[in-house]
Amino acid sequence: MITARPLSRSLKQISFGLAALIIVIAAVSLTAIFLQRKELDQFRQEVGRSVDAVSSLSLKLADAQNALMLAASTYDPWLPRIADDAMARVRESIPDLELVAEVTGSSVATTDAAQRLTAWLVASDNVLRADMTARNVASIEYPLAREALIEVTKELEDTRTERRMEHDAIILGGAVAIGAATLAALLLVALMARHYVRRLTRPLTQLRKMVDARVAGDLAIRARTDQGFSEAVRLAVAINELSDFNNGLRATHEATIHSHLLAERVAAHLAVTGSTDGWGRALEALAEGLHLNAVAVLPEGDPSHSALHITPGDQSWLPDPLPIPADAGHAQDSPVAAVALDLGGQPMGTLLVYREGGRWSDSDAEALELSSHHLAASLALESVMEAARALDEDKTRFLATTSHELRTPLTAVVAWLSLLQEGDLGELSADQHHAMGVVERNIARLRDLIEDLLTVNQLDSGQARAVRTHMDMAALACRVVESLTPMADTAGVQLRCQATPCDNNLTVQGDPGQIERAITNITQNALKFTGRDGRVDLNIRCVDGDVTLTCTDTGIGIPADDLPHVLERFRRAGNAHGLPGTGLGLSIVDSIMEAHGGTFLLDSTQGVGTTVVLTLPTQLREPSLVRQ
Amino acid sequence: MTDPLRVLVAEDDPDIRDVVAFKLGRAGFDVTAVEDGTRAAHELFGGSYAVAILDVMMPGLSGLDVLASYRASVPEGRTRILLLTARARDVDVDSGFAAGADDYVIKPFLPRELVSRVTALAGRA
Repeated sequence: MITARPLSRSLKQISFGLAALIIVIAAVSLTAIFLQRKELDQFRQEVGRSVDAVSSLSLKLADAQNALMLAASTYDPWLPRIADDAMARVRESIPDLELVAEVTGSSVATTDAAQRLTAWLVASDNVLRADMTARNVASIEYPLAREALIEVTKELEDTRTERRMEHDAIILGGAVAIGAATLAALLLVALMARHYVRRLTRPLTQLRKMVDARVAGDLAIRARTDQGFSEAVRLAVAINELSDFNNGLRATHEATIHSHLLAERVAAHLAVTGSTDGWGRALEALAEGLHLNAVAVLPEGDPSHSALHITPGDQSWLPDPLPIPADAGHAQDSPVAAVALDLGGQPMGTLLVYREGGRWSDSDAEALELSSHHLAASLALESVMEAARALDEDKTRFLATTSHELRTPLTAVVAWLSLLQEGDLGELSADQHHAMGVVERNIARLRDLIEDLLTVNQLDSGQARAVRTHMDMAALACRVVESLTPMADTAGVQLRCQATPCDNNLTVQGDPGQIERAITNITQNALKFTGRDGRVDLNIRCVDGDVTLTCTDTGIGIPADDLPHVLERFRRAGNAHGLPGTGLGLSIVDSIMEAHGGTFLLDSTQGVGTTVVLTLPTQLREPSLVRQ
Repeated sequence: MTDPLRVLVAEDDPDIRDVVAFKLGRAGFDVTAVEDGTRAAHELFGGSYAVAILDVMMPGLSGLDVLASYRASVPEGRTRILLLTARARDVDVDSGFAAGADDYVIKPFLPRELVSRVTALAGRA
């Protein structure tokens, strides 16, 4: 409830008040002036009439005196009557002096004039009754009466002047009053304006400071709502409401960010696939992020429904029986909440979280929901990887067992065959020797096939990088050439090994057995597909810090159609049929090169020959880096 | 004329065992052939063999087990040990040498080659 007065109403009232005050003062002053003016006009007329009356009386007096003096000096019987008439006119006019007395404010002069005139009239009456002494009295009274009348006229003049001055003073006073009132009003307005502006700007300045502080990061600051006009108070209240709203929004936003970051952290830990550490850390992160007492993940399809990962180890909080994913959900105050982990509608398991007292918020639910996707995906990935790992292990074990099981009878066959061939069991005929040769050759093919399969299996199962030593490529290649020379001689092919020395002595890092195998494979291939009087040359040199081995032959080459497929397993070129081989040789070479961070290049022209280039880094790099 | 040198052959496959024994016998060695690791260990610990040929993959005690326990129990033993390995993995060879083998032959092998290796080992004994 706002109790402060609004500024707008105060200002309105003040303006109305001031305007009314000015109008009243002006009206009173103007009315006073107007009335004063009117009174002055009236007075002026009265004075005029009084002056006329006095001068008329003065003339009548002079006529009557003349007539009297004439009557006294002459005995004309009409003259006294004339004088008497003139005296009557004087007598009739004496009351006019009362009027004059009113104008002058019953002055002494009028009373005096009336007495003088009356005294003269008495003397004059006596003159007319032929009292001779009265003539002198009338002669003496006459100038006195005249002077008294003149005195009255003078007094009238004085009164007029006095009244004008009074009037002027009143008009001046009115004007001064209006001016003073206006000035006072203006001063009042200025003072009030100053006062109100202060009352208005102080809370506004405080509001601005508050907003500045808020922008600077003080979210707890609030505007004061107990000062200033109601407008400022209302503004402060509005700003506080806006701040509260913004704080709420900010809290929601921060909660969302927190949920996402938490889910990302969980995902990042889970990304360390195949590691129980990853799971443990992911669930620990979840527990820490949501202040959980414990977390458990129950994989779907586990008949015992036992928890896959639990943090911490104490399982006493787990509900019994465990909820099935269909029941997933969480009550506000239940300490255990269950979240279904599913991936594209496929149930993967259940996430159980435990917090004493429950109190699950929307932001908790959001974080759990976001994290559950990652957990579900990780469960799915884990089960797929587990299946793949099991399959791969099966394959490796199968191949290892098979090759071992194949080798044992082969060993017996080879051993006994050699006894026969070497005559340990009696001399053989030429035909028997030939037959033994055929058997031996086919056993060799069988052995090659088993060896190749075993090598491929080893390379596939990632055992290739088990050994890392430094070796001299030139020495290795020339040793291979040396061991294959008998084969070359038999085939009538000239086989040569040539090394171009360089700074690092042509040293590479890796598994010598495998590198030797790669060199042997490509050299054997070259010999196999090169006819009598052909050539096979091995050149080893440095190129840009790498060591390259180039094997060039003048053999039958590979048809263009088959070139893209030379690295496919069990695939052999169209013109290779009839020649021994498993179709695994080059793919093994490629796998070995890849495992060593090297490259394998093959170029061939049918009927001209084939060139194979093996490149190996002098320092072993991680294959994944090299492949990018 | 000195006594023929004694050679122990431990191999579970009778056909391979026979051919090895036959060829070594032909080469003038006094051959004792057994079919499993337990008997091989018994013979090796009891008799004075110049050379013992041990198959790595045998039921019961493997050739590596026999080798390791012999080297550990009889450090002064002078018998040279040659491993027959299917070379399932290169690490077999490494662990064989680590366990104290003197040489190894990869299956399949030529009896002639095996005899020459045994002769070489016996000569060094």
